[in-house]
Parts: sequence; structure tokens; C-alpha cells
Amino acid sequence: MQAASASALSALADPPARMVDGAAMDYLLIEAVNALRVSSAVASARAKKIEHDMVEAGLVPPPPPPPPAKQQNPRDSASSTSGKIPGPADEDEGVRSRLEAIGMHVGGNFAERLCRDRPLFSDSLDVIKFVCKDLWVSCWDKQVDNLRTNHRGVYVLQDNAFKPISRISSWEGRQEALKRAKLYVALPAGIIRGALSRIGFQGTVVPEITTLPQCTFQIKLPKNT
Amino acid sequence: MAIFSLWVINKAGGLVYQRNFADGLAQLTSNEYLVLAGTLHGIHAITSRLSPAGSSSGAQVIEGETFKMTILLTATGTKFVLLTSLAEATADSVLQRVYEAYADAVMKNPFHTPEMPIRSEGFDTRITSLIGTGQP
Repeated sequence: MQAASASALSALADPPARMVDGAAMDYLLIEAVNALRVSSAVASARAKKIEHDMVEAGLVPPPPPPPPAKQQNPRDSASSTSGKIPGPADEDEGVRSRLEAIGMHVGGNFAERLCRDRPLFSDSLDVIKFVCKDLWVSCWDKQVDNLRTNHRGVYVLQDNAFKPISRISSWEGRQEALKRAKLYVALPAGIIRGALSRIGFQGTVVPEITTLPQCTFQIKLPKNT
Repeated sequence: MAIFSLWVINKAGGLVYQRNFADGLAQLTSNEYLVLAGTLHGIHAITSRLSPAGSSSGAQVIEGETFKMTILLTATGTKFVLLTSLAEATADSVLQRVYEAYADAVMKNPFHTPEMPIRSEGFDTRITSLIGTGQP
């Protein structure tokens, strides 16, 4: 009984900093993904046109002809055995990298504010724990559900009900919803990556969604720490 | 410290929901799961008569060498069975929350026929957010 009331009191006395308005973040994410998808389609169309013009002018050798049609289904972009990345994955890559860049910016600034009164981090595990607790609470109002590590720089953070994707559903079924949800986790992945890089760890963050409200982030930190 | 799987058995003994989480259990066909659930239903009914100390509602925990089965019998006759590793201490509270998720996502679903297999995405989502992958 004592322990419960003490922790409740400390939560009241020193409330965790909430940096993000949840509803505004949801709306922003929805609109941002759509706007960036259109914008990156325009950008990639422009790049393709320039490349086409250069080929026409003879400045650049023409690209190798597309591999023989082994695709039974032109929409089947899942297999990459042919070596040439088909269209839709390309465009997604553009949107994803822009979302991640925005997230990195945001994450870096978050980390600056959240770390203001904190003592120095002792090691990389401490930094990851800070991400799991403070960053997650201030952005998405809960803590990470599961943290695993191989003690060699790879950390897996698992959230059973990740807030940005918890309300995604598609009338075409669960698989469709899962495919579309993959884009919406690019911004949070960027936030984590930005926070880590501002603290000093240049790593990579790879988000993965297997079943819908559950999302895992695989963080790879460089070896020297 | 892992949750292996969750079964929901209706009041007639038929399996209405089965889901695996962490690995640790053998892969069985859906027919085998149905047979096992029916067997468990029968055994549970027998154990309610075997109590040496007055009336009993049936077995609540069945422990094996490598796993344990926690059974929550509700007032309506539905059984929630959680298969976990021996060290898992939270089975009872997890089952309570599964029961709440069942009442919210399945019983209030107007398209769900009672005592029939559960095919509800809302229930699946709630269970995922509750149990995740079953690993601590």
C-alpha cells in the first residue's frame, strides 16, 4: 500500500512532461503523409523527366532495359529477385525518407528539452531506457511494453498498442491496413532516430509492424559504445 | 516467463477462439485444438465433482513439467484458458483482462452469434495490445 501511494504522489509532484497534443499529432500525421506522398510523386516525376531529357540529348547512356517479364502480375511488387525496384516501392521510399527527416528534426528538439534537468547518461543502455520511458511518455502517453537487447548494440523496442497506428483500419481488410500503416510509423522512427543522434548516438531505427496495433523498432547503435 | 497461448471455450465445450503467442508449444492442426478443448471441457466438469472439501467449481490451475494451464470459469459457463510457462505469475490478471476484452469486443458486437467461433478484428486487436508476443 505504501509503495503504491508513494509512486502516485511522486507522479503528482513531478508530472512527466507531455510534449505533444495527441489529437493534433494524429491529424498532422494523416495530413502529412498524404501531402508528402503527392509532393514526392511530383518530385520523382520531375527527376524522371530530367533523366529522360538527358537520355534523349545523349548526355547519359540509356538505362539498361527492364528485365524480361517474369512478373505474372504487374502489381506484384513484393519480389525483388529481378533487381530493379518497381514503381510503388520507389515512391514510398521518397515519402518515407522525407517523413523520417521531419521526425529527426522533431526528435532532436524533443531530446534537448527532455534532457534539460537530467544528469549525464551513463551508457547506451541508459539512453535506450530514456527513449523507452521519457520519450515515449511525452510523445505517446505510455511506456514501451518490451525491451530486448543482444548487448552488442542492437535493441528491440516493442509497443503492443502503438498510438499512431492504433486507429488505422481499411475496408479492404487487415493486410491492406497493415501495408498502409507502414508509412505512418516512419515519422515516429525519425523522432527516435533524431533524439538518439542529438544525444550523440548515430544509429539506425527500423520500424516493423506484424499485427496491427503492435509495432517493434529495431535500433542499431554503432559499435564503439 | 512467457504466455504460450489463449483458448476460449463456450459452455457446450466447443473451442471458439484459439491463438498462439510465444513459441514453445507444438504446432497442431485446428482439428486437434478442437479435440483438446473438448477434452479439457470434460475433464473440468469431472474435477468439479472430485473436490474433497465440499462443492467446487472445477480445476483452476493444471501444471505440467514445462507449462501450466490457468482456467477462468465465468458465471455463464465460458472458459478462458491461458497456457503459460511455469514461472508466469500474471496469468490470473491477464485472464481477467481477457474476459473484459471479450465482454467489450465480442459480446457487444451485433454481428457475433453467441457460442460460435469468434471472428472479430476488434477482439484480436485488444488481445494483441494486452498480451503482445507473450514474451516478458
